Amino acid sequence: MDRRFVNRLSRRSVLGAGIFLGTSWMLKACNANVGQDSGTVGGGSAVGEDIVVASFPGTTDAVMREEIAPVVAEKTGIDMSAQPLLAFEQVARVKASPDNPPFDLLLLDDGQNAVAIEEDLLQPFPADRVPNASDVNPGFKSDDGLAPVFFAQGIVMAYNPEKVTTPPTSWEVMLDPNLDAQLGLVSLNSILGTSFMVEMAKVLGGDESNIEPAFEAVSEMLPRVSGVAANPGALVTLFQQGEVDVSPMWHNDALTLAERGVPVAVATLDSGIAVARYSLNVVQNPTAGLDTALAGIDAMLSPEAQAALVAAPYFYIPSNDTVEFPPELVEVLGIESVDDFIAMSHGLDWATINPQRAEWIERFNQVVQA
Amino acid sequence: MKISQLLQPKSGQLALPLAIFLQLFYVIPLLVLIATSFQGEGGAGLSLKNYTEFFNNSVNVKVLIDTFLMGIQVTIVSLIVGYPVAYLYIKAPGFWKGILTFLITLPLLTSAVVRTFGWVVIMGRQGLINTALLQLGMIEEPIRLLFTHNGVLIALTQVWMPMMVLPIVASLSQIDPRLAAASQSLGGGVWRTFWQITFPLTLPGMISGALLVFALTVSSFVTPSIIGGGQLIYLPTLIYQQGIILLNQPFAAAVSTLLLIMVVVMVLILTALGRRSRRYIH
Repeated sequence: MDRRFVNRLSRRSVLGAGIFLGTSWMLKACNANVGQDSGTVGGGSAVGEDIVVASFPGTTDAVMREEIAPVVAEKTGIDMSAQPLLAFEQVARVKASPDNPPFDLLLLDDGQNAVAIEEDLLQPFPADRVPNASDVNPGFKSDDGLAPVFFAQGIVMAYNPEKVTTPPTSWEVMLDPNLDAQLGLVSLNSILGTSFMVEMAKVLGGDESNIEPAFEAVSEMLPRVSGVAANPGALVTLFQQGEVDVSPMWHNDALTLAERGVPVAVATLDSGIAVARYSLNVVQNPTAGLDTALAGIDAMLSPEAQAALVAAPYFYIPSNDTVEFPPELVEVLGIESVDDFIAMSHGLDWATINPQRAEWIERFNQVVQA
Repeated sequence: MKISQLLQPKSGQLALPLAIFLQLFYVIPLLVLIATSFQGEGGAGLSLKNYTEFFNNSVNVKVLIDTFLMGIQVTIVSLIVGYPVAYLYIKAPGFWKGILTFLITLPLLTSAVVRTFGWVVIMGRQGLINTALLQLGMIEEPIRLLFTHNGVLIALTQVWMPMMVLPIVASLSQIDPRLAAASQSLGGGVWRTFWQITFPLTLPGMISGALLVFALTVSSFVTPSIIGGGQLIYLPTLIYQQGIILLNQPFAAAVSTLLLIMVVVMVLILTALGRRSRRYIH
């Protein structure tokens, strides 16, 4: 009888203890969040705080973790963690829980910034509270009250000089049936893919509002396309494996590949280089609090962080004017400063692209289906 | 029945925390997903719009068929390749068993991304397979494996093979060795003993393995998107594109529901087969 009693008690106690522990754990978690919120908004010091920054998969994530996070920690004491997600995904996640966003800072391109503003996901940027913003090149400052550019990338044509002996001068070379090379494309989910389509359309007489020539071109080149990479990072792997000889690529990826000894050159195109600009903006209701978020942005716009972005092996175009460019950028793109890059590059009309982008992505996916 | 007996705690109550957890984080989201798939225009009312839209587009239907075929093919290839591996494992001496266990479970110990990038290196134009075939003089031009259905098939088979091998090993190890001995003493040869005794007794293992491999294959995302690239789309990639990139959640929910139905139908078919196989055994 006694043993039965003990058994019954132990079952109940296990269950009860489980529920008790679970409930207290949940309550503690809720409480911790509240504490963190109220503590930061009121407090001025950022020391000991955490900040979650969205970054892109691949090299951007690597530079954020390995170079930028230590600079932020050293300058502000903020523990920064980067979460790699495509711009689309960042917007989707914040949109899913705007009151309790999973990130404090979003790293978005011009196109997705416009979408995020429309969805009311971002805060206006108080430039006077971020001292390093004054060092940003005027060409990289925002006209619509958002944060200045954090870094930029150029859309270039990368080719294998061992396979393509005559340096290409136009995107049209990808349509040349006599070109003995494997072509590579990248999905339009990426900014690189979308920008490439607009650049191709422009060369063939179209523009942001008339992408038709680019789709015709893709259909035409498809038999010679060796692979359509799911994202720009996968494209780099394909180039490295010799799977692809000619493709659109980020300028910095091409330079990184060259540094690793992969035979790759950047074509000097008559149409110039299109630019993709990225800025870090504070979400509405940041968990870390506005002060901490702004302190993080300030550290990331500092000369130290910006120098890490442009240095080998990353080669991003920084926005801070005081940073020196590495010799590789001078050699391959002929640019020595942020001004040089702005002068040689051109932006795209994302206000026109955005409303059509979903349709383009869907159409592209259907056109390239094997 | 006495009142004290009614008050006795049942062992089933121990599962209550897990049941509550699953209700909260699995069943309810699943119901929300299914409800979302029937969401009408502008988020109001009930409608079959998302489903009619899916089936009216030939590309979507092709994606559905391709995904189903991929599931079936990977399951069959895993069975054909995995069965001998499981058989070898059972027959191997103790020392080799350890090594074989390690080799069989190795694919599960590394990240899917790492494994898949390994396949990119192996299947590329200048990869291991093409270089070997070229040097052996078996081909003149590199064959295309990356970004093909067959490439994805090869990679997924390797990735999910352990899920087929392990249940078969479990089935094989439960077989009473005296059955084979009895068969042989009654004049049954090695092949006859295998086909009439061992093979039927491992049917439950094969069915469990097939179920796991099929369900995991049709819901794989990383491997098909890296090996298949942007040119080959399967249901999980379509769900990702519609849900995350195009922000068309109701349509993504409809595609997810179709994927769920596909797996449930397969579960029902295989469970029915399993019941038949058990009848054979007893």
